Amino acid sequence: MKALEIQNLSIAFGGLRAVRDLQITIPPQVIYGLIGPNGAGKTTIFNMLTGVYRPTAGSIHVFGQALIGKSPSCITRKLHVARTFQNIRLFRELSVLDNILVASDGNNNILALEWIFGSPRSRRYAALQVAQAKKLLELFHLETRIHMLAKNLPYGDQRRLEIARAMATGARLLLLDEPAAGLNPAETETLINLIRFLQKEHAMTILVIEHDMHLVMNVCERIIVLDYGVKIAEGTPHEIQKNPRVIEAYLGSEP
Amino acid sequence: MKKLIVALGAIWLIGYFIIPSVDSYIVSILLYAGINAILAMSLNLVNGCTGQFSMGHAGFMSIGGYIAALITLSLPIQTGLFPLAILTAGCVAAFAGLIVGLPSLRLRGDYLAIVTLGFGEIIRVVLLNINVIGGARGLPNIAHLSNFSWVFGCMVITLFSIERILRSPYGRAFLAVREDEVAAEAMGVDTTHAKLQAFVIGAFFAGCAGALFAHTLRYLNPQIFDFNRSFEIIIIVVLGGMGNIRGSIIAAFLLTFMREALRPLQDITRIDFRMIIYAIMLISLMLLSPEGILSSKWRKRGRS
Ligand SMILES: Nc1ncnc2c1ncn2[C@@H]1O[C@H](COP(=O)(O)OP(=O)(O)O)[C@@H](O)[C@H]1O
Ligand SMILES: [Mg+2]
Repeated sequence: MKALEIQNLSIAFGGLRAVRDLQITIPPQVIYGLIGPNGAGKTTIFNMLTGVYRPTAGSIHVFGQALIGKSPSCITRKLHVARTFQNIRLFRELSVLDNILVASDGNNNILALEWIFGSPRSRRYAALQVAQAKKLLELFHLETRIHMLAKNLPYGDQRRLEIARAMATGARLLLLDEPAAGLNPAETETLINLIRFLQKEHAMTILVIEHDMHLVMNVCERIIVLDYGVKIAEGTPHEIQKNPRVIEAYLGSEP
Repeated sequence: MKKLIVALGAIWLIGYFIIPSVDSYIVSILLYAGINAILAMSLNLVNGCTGQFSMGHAGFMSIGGYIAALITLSLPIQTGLFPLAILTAGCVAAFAGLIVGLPSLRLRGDYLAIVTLGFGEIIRVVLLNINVIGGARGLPNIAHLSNFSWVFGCMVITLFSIERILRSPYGRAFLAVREDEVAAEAMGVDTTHAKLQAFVIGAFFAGCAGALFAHTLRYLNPQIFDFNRSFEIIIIVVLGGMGNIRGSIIAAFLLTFMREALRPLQDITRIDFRMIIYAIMLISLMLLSPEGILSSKWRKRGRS
């Protein structure tokens, strides 16, 4: 079964056709890159994949399940798709730990009254949940910052926390929107290792939007290139680097 | 849990041994302060913690007040009846919260404020026009069931419950909605559901506060629950700090005592100074300390 299957996907904002007749198929447990100039429609695709925007046409299936029409929270919980944002959107006034816990609260059916009276079930759940959150934070080198407010984290840590938070939802398909934006080379290197680790050890399928070509060429098995809402190329990093249409889209055509 | 039981025990002891020797005027102010604290904490859950601006809290309070009063008036009076009346009042108010919240919590910001404001007014007008509960004449002769122990016991239980909720998945969802609705949805929080839960829980405690109020004042009149009442609760929440539950308690006591201190001035000049003072307080607060009157130390503790 495919991790992600997008067929004939289109969306228009008024007269602007931001994405046109898009086809994407991603098998499970691979890392795909999504690149293209600014305004090509990359983030718009993520917004459709997470239920923020409703496509004007086409279909989306995640691990065989139809996605269109479901609410964003339902897509995260039931279809196990989670994302990060191009402009970091952490819960700024909450602690690092609470940011993770919000995501992992999930489908527990413990009643509010049980939480008030501290039923054994709620205590066990909370203890387990915090232990798991700490493990996850260790993976992202955030274990020493656990009680800091998210807004007080250094920028690079905020980027990593956003990925950790997406992981905490129990995602199987991870959508990363420019995760390396604003990172220094050392931080980018850490990020590259992290993305690879998530794919290998956590069996994640990852679709990453990125402008940092070093990252894209190094972690992505295949790359999809978008220009003006249309897919203009798809292939291995090697193929993409040599593709004349891609070079044209990025550098503009020769006169 | 242990802390709660100790606090309730202490309140009962104070209520039993100390309060009878305290001036009854002071006690009555304390009772209204405690009731205001419950109202402010419950509104804070919606306005401060969940980031939804509700302006109709007096509406839920009045529903609770009338329901509880009708219960104790129509059934043979027994002290044991009072907790039952309080709980029923809370539940009916919570149900009203559900009915109001269901359609309106899809609205954002200003619209929600207007809808809840409208709700508060509608409830008042409806109460004015129901003859069996006295209409504009009001509902007199309500049993004197409320006392220090009940009010402060309920206040402590409210504080305990709300703080526990805030540290549970429910409360974390509320806070996430306040912080960033889009991100909350993306992380699997059903934001409409979370807002509704906060609204219903807030309405429940407001209903309980209404029940306590009815049996403290022993007389109800729809005009008591006009917009000024809702506004007063909002002022307390802002004063204590949005999202700061303990701050709400302190602000409730400050404001209630201040209002009483102003009463002689008001009696002499025959001007209602309250609203003027509130406005001045609100403006200076916004300029000087937008996070509330309390220091950040309190803020952290109140917030989990
Ligand atoms: N909600 C919206 N309303 C109108 N236009 C939009 C909206 N979202 C995106 N767009 C437009 O769609 C195009 C693609 O945007 P986006 O997906 O953000 O590009 P990028 O590839 O840089 O992520 C842009 O022209 C943008 O202005
Ligand atoms: Mg983008």
